[in-house]
Amino acid sequence: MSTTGNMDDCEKLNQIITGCQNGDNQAFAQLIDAYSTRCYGYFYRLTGNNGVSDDLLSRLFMRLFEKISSFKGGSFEKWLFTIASNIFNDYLRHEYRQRRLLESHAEQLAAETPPRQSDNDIADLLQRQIGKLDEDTAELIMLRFYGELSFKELSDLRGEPIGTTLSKVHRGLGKLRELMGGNDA
Amino acid sequence: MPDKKENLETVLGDLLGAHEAHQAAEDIRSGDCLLRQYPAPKPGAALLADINIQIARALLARRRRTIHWVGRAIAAAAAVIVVGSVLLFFSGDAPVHVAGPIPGPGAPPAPDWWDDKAVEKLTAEVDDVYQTLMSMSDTTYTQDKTWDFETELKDLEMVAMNDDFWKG
Repeated sequence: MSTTGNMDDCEKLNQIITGCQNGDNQAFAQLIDAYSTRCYGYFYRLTGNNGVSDDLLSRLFMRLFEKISSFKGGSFEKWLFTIASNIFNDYLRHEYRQRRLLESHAEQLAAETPPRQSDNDIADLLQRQIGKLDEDTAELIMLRFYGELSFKELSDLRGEPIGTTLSKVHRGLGKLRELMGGNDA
Repeated sequence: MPDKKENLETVLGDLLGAHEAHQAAEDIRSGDCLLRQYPAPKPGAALLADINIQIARALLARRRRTIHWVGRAIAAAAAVIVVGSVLLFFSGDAPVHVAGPIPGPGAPPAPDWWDDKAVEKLTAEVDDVYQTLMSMSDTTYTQDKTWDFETELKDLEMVAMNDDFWKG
């Protein structure tokens, strides 16, 4: 769903959000329909795992249900993807703690559970290359692509100067193209 | 897709020279192209249906909590009004006696200000308010106070039907 630059889309989105704030179940269904694909893509590209992405998407929409009354206008995408980013970072912290626990108790077991393994690695070449980027840069690229956030919104979200954000995304996408080699043609 | 919100050349032009900004914008656009060439998988229909059901349940629970809260608030307000009315009624010409005279063979006769009909009327009003509140809060409970799964299931079915209707 394109929600920018088009007055009708903006108005429709505002109606849906108002409906959600009034507890309208159909409005929630519309919101899920409009944003689930992009949010799922964001989670999938960062985790490379369908099961984890399913779980994170469920958590995202339940968090949205709890917090929708606190949305006071502005860019809904920025608001939504800020929640998505928080959920992803919570997941990363949890995964890091689990890995530390496993390492301290059974190094062998930990070695058998690699952190960012795709379900269909062979089929998805891009997923493997994204896994080679540092997590911060990969998240910025995915926030920009799936969240359709501007560089200004991204730098606000991350609390860093716009030049830093631009530089990270530029370098990250450059590295990704390099890693993909001739496959992107 | 993302550059709908901004002009990359303008944003980059603030930080780089015109030529470098154009080159960097092209690099970013070709990176976006790469991401579009390899689309991520989409969420399954079962997952989306499950999320819709979770939200429908949470909405029902929230509505139930609101009804209970309103019921309690009304009960508290009614109790305050009734107690206030009783106190005002008895403090008109005589000293306040919340407890009425105890009838019995050796009991003294009721004082002049005691009015049995008024007390009966007030008692009936209190009972009426109580019954109304009980019927309001009993929307999801049967008379023997057990959970009504059928009502819950029907609610969820209605929600699912609404969703299906909306999706065509």
